[in-house]
Amino acid sequence: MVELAESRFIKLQEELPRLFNRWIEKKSANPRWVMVIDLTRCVGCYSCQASCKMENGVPYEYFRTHVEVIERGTYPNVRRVFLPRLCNHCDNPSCVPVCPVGATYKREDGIVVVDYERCIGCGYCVQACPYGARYSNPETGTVDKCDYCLHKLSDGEVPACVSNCMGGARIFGDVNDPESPVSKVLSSKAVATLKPETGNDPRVYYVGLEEATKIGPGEAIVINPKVGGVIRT
Amino acid sequence: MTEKVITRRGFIKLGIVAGLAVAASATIGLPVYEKLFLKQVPPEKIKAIKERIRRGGVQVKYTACVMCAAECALEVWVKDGRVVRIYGNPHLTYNSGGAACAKAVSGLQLQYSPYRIQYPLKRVGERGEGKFIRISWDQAIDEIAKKLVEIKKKYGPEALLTDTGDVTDRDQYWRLTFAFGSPNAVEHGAICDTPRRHGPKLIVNGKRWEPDILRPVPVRMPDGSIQWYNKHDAKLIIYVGWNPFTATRIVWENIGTVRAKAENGCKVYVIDPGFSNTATLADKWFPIRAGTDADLFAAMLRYILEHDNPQDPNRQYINYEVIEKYVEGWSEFLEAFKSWWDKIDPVTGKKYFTLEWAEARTGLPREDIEKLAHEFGVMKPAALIWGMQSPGHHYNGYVASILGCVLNIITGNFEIPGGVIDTEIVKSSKGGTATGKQFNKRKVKRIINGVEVEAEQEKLHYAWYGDWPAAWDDVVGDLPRMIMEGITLKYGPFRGHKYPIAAYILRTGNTLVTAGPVYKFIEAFMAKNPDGTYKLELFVYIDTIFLESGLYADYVLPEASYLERMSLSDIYPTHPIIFLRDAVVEPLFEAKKPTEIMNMLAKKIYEYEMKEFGRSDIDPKEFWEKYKTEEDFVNEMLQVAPGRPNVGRPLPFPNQPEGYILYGTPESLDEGRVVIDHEKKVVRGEPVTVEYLRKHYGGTMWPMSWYRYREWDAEKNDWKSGGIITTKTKKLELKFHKYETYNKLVEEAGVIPLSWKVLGWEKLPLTFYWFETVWNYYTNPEYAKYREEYPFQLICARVHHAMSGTQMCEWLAQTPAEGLWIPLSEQFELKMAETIPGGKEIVNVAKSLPKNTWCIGTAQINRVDAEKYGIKTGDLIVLENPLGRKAVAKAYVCETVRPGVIRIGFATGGRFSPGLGGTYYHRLYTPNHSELVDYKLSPIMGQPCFADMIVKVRKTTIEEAVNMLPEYYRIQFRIEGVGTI
Amino acid sequence: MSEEENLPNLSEKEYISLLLFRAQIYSILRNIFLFEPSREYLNNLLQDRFLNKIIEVYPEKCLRDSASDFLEAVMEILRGGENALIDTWAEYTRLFIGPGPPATPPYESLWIDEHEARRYKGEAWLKVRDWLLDEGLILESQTILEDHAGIEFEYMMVSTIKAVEMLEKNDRTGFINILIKQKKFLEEHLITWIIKLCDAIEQKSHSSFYKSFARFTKYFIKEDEDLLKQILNNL
Repeated sequence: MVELAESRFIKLQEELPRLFNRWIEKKSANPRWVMVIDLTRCVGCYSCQASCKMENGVPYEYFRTHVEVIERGTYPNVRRVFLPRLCNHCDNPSCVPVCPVGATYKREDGIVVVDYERCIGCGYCVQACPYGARYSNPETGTVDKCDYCLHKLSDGEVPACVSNCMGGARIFGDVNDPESPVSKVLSSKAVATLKPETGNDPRVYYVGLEEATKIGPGEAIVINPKVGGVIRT
Repeated sequence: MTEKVITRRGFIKLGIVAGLAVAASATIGLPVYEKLFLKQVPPEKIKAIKERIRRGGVQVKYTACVMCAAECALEVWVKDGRVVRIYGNPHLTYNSGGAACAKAVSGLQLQYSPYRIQYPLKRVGERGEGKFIRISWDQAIDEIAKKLVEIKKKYGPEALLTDTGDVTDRDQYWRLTFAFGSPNAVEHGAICDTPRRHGPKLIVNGKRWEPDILRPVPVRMPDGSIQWYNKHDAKLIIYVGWNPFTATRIVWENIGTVRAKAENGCKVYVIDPGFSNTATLADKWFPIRAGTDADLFAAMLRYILEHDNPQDPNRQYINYEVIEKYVEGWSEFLEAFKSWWDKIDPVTGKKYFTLEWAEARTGLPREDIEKLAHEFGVMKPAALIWGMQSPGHHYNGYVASILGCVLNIITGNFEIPGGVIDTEIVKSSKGGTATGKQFNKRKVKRIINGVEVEAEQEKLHYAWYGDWPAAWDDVVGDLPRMIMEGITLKYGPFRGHKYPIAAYILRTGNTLVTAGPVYKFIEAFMAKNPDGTYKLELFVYIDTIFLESGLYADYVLPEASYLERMSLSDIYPTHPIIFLRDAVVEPLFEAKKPTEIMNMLAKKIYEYEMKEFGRSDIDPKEFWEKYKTEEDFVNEMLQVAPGRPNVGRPLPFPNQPEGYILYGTPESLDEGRVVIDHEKKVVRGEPVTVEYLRKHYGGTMWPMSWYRYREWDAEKNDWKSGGIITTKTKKLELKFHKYETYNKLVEEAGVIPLSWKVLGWEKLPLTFYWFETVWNYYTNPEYAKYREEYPFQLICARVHHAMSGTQMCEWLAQTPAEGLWIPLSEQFELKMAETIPGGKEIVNVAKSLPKNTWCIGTAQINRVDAEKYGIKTGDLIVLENPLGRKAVAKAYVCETVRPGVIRIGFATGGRFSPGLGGTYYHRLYTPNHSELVDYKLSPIMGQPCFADMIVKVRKTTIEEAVNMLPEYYRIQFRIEGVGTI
Repeated sequence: MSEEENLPNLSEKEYISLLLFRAQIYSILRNIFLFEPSREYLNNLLQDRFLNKIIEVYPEKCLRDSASDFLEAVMEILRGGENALIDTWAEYTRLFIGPGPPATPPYESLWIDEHEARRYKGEAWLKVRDWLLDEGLILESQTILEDHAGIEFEYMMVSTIKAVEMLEKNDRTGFINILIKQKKFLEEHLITWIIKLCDAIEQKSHSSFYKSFARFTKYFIKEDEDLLKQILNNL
């Protein structure tokens, strides 16, 4: 019986996670974590939305990340777009200065976090965020938001929404590392951010955003599980 | 105390220490009653501990999902005996390199659902009342076994029909059924999409044709190494009635389509009455009329045949070499096909299969049809893929299936990189002798009209020798009639033999809701003999969750969930891959694994049979003495892996003979640790085992190759047809030799099956044939009279669920899809499976959810149609079919469905079992598609025609709706143990 | 405190003696931190005369003095009968266990400076646990953690004994490597907090047993750091 550790088939299997960017390979001395969402690859499966709840204990009524569905056009020239949304980990976040106890701050590595010990649950930051990325968790009495699954990052693993993404639409990595998946996407594709006019300098990029949010003729139908119902705009 | 100042050296030299306890052992200065806390352990153990710590005290295990038919490879994290995380397995390629969809993740909410069946239940009161009491396993097994033996005595063992429903790891139940003496074991395949698979079965003895977009695949390099081939080759994919982005059954088509488009500029066309999620990425959406796929394919074929020109590079559609060498019966097929070309179609007044004819039938502009035909002909490699909903659910789906295969074959796209692969004939085999099919070869005797007849047990089959001689995938849609009328065998040696369906074991299935019109099944399950006893004398329901069918069962047995049992994943890749479903946690409550249930029942049946008959068909050595654990069972199932021939290029194992069937681990085959049988042409390596799979991250694979329909013939120094093609002639058969067996059976008996007669057939035609679908006034003149009153075609489509057993999962109630599953719920209270901060585990809590926060099944309707009726999104409407059956739904008004079509999500509405948790609460204003389906079965295979129906529409109120729905929607069922945590 | 004298080259036997000496002391430190002292144990301390020898001839005055005080305290307890023993146990509990926060909890995590780490199972605990794992050691206990002073001392003890075994097998490299690791452990862990802990015990304890023990521990740790430095310089 050959030593299975030498099996070429096991070796092939061990190459796979690298091929699919499941792990954070190299860490530069000063990583800057950034996410790119490629809307041309999103298949609207909601895996990110559900995986995040599983990973971070987000209650049913709330979301750290969610996916909106936008339908536009007139039969048969119609379009449907899926728009995954999350905290944009802004460089100039409007949520940070409003905190009365200094419980929220932007880390060196770019992640905007909440210190749950300090947070008193006043909810000012929830209102201050133009993206509605935060929520008040009644279970914990604090606010909660995306933290790029920090607990996984420290183990060299990508956030749950990234590893479970069916279409490979969520790309995550260190923008200071030119070999990282995000750096490669950012240098080869046109990207845009949501609501740049807020001045928050959001650091979640989208490929194909213009196409998705283009105002065309006819109304748009928007379904947002965070809000419920069907919205016509 | 003196103050001697000495040096350290001096101190040591004084031998002070030497005089003390010098034993170099761990007992220095230790009081007798204490031992060391620190323990030295070997490096492997340290490695394992470090890995566990790295994941926070969590065990990482590999298993396979069951939340939909894709059965993806999972990596699950288990802590303190509970599953806390579900991810995709990144060490296998099957699901997008380790992705896991929302359904997979929501599996946590099925596993820890408050609505799981906790213990065995026995019915008290009438079937359908939903009144059960708790009983012990011993009592349940005892009573069921006793009853089964009773039934065997009265009618013969063939009176037992075992239906293992929607979940594929069912071999234990089939084995038990066959050993008991009944050949009647069926599963979901019978009601899935048999017409869709028909062409592949006839032509290549296969089943599912999928585009070659599974990447990466392992291929053999010229230097002998194996490397990942990660490049996409497809240039054009046409999805007809197939929606990989939502109906994730062949999961790798999901990311495969995305990547082929992004990395290889592959064009994607979606042909579907509804704008499916797959269409969001497509280069063009062709909103075809429902039920006209065959018409489209016929027109494409005619166009290709009429315009093909080998001299013109822009018209080189047909690959003549493939046809000449590897296809049987092409000229006859062509002749039969062409024989329609001059006929005038009474419905449209146009010649069959012309572009104008197709335009009139499909509702697509002729330029579009021409575009499809031309591009499919000229762009290579290309793949034409047709689906389950359509044509699989249409009466005439066979026609489309056969034409689809022909189109792929003659354009030279079959088995080429980026083309079309028949995944059934290249996937790894599994099951083998564990399934017990060998028991069906037993010789049995029956007395028929006073004459004793002896033949094999399988000749008693209720369908193959009953009314459906050609239904090789069995028939479940006809169960209601069969229960009411009983079985009379008409074919084979046992013809004339009669028996009832007296016992029905339904495992992980929900035929009441998924196999046809609900009321028909209820009627059959409730039917009584004159003496007041049920015609169906025994109904056993086995599952983890309590679905509608359970309401009519006599016994309900809790089966271990997919995370609690071991089996093999049933997958359809483009090359052999196999992975394990591992029991990662212990069964909750009193749930038992299938192997245990099989053994318990087998033993009790054995005991009763010995008492009753003095002998038993159950051999202890074939059950509990052989399978002490489920691992024993799965190891036997793995003996036949991969069971595929060493063919194609690059040749998977150049060191093994080409064309020989391979068994065993890829390592043993690779390294020559094999035994070769030159007579049987088999290479046997070391068998794959459960332990082996666990060491390989849960699964393993054998190399991919293409052109597997041919083998190199060394003698003739040329290619010959064969390889994976195991048809009679070893060629791609457009002369349908497969039908010959059935025609012979029918001829011998002199009885033509009713469903063939309706088509005007005395036997199955061995080449191209054409007939129309039903309930379709665009194609079948018989239905013209309904056009005005019932202006809508009703079709069913998919949302982020699968089968009918996941709709209690709360996270899936937040996944709006395609206008069919929309957050328009009323406010309600429920018990739910909820996560806690930090995601530490799933607990059960009671919550009140406000309006519009839970997705419900809706009826999707085009805006233009809605405006005619004054319907707006959220309005309650009633759908009524010509049979007077009704369903109620909230409307979703949009632009993303063809006018004249109404679309409903499968199993999204009218769910009247409390086991459906939150979805149960909305049953009164959500549509159950099965209420509107006709009891109409397609010929040949007896598939229910789920997609053939027409309806009329009007607005209604909730009061009216409540009164017009059948009673079982209004009852508030409370099932013992279900939802009572 | 340390003398300016360097340790010259020793013979193999002498190294072994030195190692066993160190192991013996670590064993005492380990026992006193991990368990309430039994009468039997205290008697052993007296009778095996190990401490007496130290008092008589060890070059370092602080060590001699604190050992002397410690032995005195031991004798006092033995003379004091049952009550004295029980008082000692009560003191052990008050210092190291509870109820409520113990006066001087013997866990490295709680004595390290960074304010986030000041909790049980903090950064320091993580490091010690990983250190032990790298040495192939796991802690089998439901009630104490790896960064307990007694466990850290147990580690020093068992690794010293291992070093003896290496020498006896003539595995010089193995022997040196262990000493290198021990020096690192001392510097990165023991030195950083044991002194603080011992100062606190000295300050807060009412019992001369624990006060003198704390002093002895403190001085020995410093001494051992020195010893190791000098041994390694020669090798």
